[in-house]
Amino acid sequence: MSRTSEPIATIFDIQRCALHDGPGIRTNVFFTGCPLRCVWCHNPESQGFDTSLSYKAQLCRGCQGCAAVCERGVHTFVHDGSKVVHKVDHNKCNACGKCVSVCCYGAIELVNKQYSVSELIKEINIDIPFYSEGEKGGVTFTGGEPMLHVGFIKAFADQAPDLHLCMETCGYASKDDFLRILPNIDLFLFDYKITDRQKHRIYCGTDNDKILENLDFLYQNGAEIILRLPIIPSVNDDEEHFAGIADILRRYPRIDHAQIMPYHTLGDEKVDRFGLSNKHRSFETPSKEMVDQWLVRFSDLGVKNIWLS
Amino acid sequence: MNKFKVHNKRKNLQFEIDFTKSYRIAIQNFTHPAQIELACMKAQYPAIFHPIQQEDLLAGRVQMGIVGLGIQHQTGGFGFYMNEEEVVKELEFGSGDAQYREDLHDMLTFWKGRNTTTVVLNNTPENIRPLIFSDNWRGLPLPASPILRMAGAFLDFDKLVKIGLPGLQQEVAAFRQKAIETNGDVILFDCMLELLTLVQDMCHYYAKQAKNLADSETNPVRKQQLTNMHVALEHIRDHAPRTMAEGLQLVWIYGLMTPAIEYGRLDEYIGDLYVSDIEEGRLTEDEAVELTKSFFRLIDHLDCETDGRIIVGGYGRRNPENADRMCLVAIEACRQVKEVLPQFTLRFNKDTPAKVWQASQRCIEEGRTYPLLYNDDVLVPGVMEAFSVDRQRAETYMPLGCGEIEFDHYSIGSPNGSMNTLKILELAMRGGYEPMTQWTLGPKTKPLSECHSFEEFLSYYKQHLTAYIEAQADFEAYEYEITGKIHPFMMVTMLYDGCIEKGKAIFDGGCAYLAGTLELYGNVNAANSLAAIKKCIFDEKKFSCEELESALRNNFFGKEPLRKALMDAPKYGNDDDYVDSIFVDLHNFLSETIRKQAPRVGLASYLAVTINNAQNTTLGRWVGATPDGRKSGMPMANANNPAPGTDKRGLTAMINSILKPSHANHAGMVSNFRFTRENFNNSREKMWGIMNSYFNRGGAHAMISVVGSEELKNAMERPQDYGDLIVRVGGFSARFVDLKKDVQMEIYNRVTY
Repeated sequence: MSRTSEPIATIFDIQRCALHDGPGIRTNVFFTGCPLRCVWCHNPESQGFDTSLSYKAQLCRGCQGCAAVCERGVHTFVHDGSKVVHKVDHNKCNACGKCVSVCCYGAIELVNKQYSVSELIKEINIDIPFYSEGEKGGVTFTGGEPMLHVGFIKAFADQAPDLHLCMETCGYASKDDFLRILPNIDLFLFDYKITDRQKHRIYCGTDNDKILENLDFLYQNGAEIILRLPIIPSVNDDEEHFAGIADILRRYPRIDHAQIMPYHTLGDEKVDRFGLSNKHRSFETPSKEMVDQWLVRFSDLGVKNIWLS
Repeated sequence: MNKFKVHNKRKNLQFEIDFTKSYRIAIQNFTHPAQIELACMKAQYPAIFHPIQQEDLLAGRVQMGIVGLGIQHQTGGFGFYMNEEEVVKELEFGSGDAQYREDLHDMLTFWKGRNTTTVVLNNTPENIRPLIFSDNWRGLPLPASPILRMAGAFLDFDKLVKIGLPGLQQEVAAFRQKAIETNGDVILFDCMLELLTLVQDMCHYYAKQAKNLADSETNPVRKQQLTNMHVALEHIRDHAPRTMAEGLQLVWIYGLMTPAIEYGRLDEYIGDLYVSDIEEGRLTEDEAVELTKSFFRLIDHLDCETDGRIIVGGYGRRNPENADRMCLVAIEACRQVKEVLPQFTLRFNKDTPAKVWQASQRCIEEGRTYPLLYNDDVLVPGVMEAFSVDRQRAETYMPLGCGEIEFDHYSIGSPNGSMNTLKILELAMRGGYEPMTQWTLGPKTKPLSECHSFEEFLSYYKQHLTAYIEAQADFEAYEYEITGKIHPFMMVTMLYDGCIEKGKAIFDGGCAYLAGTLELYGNVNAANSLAAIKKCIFDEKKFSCEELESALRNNFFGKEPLRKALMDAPKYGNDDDYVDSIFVDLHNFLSETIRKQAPRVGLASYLAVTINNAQNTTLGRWVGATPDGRKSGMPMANANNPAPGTDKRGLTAMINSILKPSHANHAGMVSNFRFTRENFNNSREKMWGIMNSYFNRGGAHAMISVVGSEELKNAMERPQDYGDLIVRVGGFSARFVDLKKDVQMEIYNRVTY
């Protein structure tokens, strides 16, 4: 099948040997693009579809090879006291890749690569022998928002019918898309971020009507679901949201369990890496005691099937 | 140099001087090597013994001399040895009277030309010398180097424990009689008998010491331990061991004097005694563990860095049920004695009891790095083919040292040469020319710049490799032959199959299966370099050979785009057949060419080993910039693992790559894995699932490091060495070295013991 006739998707990472994103040993495929704009997002580079320049300052050796080949002035080296510092202006970058082709230290990369279905299948083939060890593993589609790539994922699933497929989704997609993909997905990891509709719009960029409708739709149509709960101190660790979570789990008793994902700042390094400082907000990292308290509160609300990711 | 872990080390070289005097007298009075060896053994023991220490439950500590009789570098030295540097240091900085200093000078000049290493090197046959001309791999850019030693003796401790010293004496005496009747080497037998008497005397030596210590000991627990030691030592002097303590003590004294640094199938040779002690109420489980721990600490006190193998589990044990019970004791002792040695090794297979496997897993998860895991179900069939032996023999395979395979008390396959396949590639690229020293070595072939195709260059590279392999094989056979004429190594001879029966010393016709092994370094980098040459120069014509040569000569200075293109070429460890097929082809070529040498040089087998020690770093020091993008002097890849930082597709791809080479044509290949402790704490079934997938699909060996905060600290300081370390925290996996410093600190602080 020639590449031109196959669906193509832009993928920004493939993480192998993932142990926490579904059953067994899995391969996480990270798709670009997301309809939401959650302020705590730890993959902010995935929100848009563009190819992004990634610059890791800690690997830069200051050889200035990138500055020599860049025609747009993205890379400059300036004096800061006795040191020479490498500054990157992401706004000027058009992702031509010239600097990547001269950096021998891995400090510069272009993120977001296009894959055809058969190219992705080739990547997954590397991991297939591992899926059958112990608990059955498989592929988890995540990102970004994989539901933006339903056509691609469907074509992939059709070519690999024996694979266990997990879909990690924020739930913001058309019902038709969920209808289309439902037969191919063995497990949904479904995000439930904020209960209050207005608050959802403020913190995530959209309200949650569609999301709740889709959750209901999937549930009523027999989907296997695990609820994923990002909890961010001072944003959604309030009583209303916790009660909302308890309510969801009561209403949908077949949901296997919910996983709490405490906020972390590991996405902060991407701010500098991708030049996203104007979009980024930082929050308090919850302590172990705080997280323990959350679990106590859920227990008090009568929720049994909730634990830490 | 080992720093033997003893209190009150000798402060001067008087022992060495006395040893030299004894040797001088011996060579005046005797001509038979066995007589000379015996005299040296008497001069050495008990002179180099050290007292029983407070924590010992078994007797026997040693500090090998700067001069003395040993069997390999880690036992003081090879044969009659002198550590010249240390003697000179003593002359320059030590104190002592005029006689002492005169004796030191005498000793220095006496051994300069007579030490076994020099004798072997100086008599290297002419045909070998053009390629094998120095063992100074530390200071010279050698493509190949001889290693002067006889490594890997796995003595028949099972036999020793069963029949004891008297039983061995009887056997030797019986065959001595036969030697008289058949005009055999009676002197050899006489010396062996006297040597066994010396061993008995050493038992008595320590027995007396234990008694004296017991008499003056006030602590009742310690007093009892010392008394037990005394009783055991006196008993094994004249009887076969009855108990686990006696068995271990006999093995230890005999091994110490051999001097042996491999302690083999502990579960087999001690299992029966352990079980009978437990069942007859002589010992509790805890006491058995304590005894084993003491045994392990004593192995560790030898401080030999490598070797020190204890091998448990696997097919081919005489007494698998009892051995499996002892196995659990041994694993527990390994778990508790957190030292570098022994190199605790588990041979596992489909029949390994679940308890043994679980105990091993627990040990590894706690960060011990032991047991090293060897997969019998892959290795036994592989060894059958590589060594051309039957199943029964193959089941007795034993990895020595850093991983070379031999057969328990049957074969010696001493790795007496090392070859730097990356350096040889460098030479082949320049038609045999070495710019650092201006040598021209090896066959006269065209340099890369004159080759019209990749296949043409590859054929020249293989010609160079073949030349060194043939020279190394010649050297191996020669080293055995000349060593066999000087050193009977009677302690080894008496506990190796067939030697006593034949009446011949181990390296003088006694060994039933005399094998050799050749250590290979640089294979992964060489394969990566070949792939880069093929892709960048011949397939895609990105630049010319001249441009490549110029960039390499200047260590890529100012040539970053060219270097990047080389670095971006396919690399082994990413499940990419473009380069993996080149690696497999190279591996097979090396393995088969090496293997073919055996009949030509008169060895039972001669096989490649790709093993795990620091040589990938030390030998990389004198290799210039290479076409895989590696900079001048930088370390080469370790064993069968990808070059650091080049495995970009993660663990599963790496595993797929390292599964590709065959295990049926070499004598040992090592693979390392490194995981974080947290992964094991949180997802241990999945982690072991990954390892099971590896083993089930042909994985022969695994050394698993489970990394805790110490390693994370090192990773923060030296990120270039820890590119493959993935951490999992919260809902996020990342390469640890990619994270910002403060995040690294946070993760570091989170890791708990």
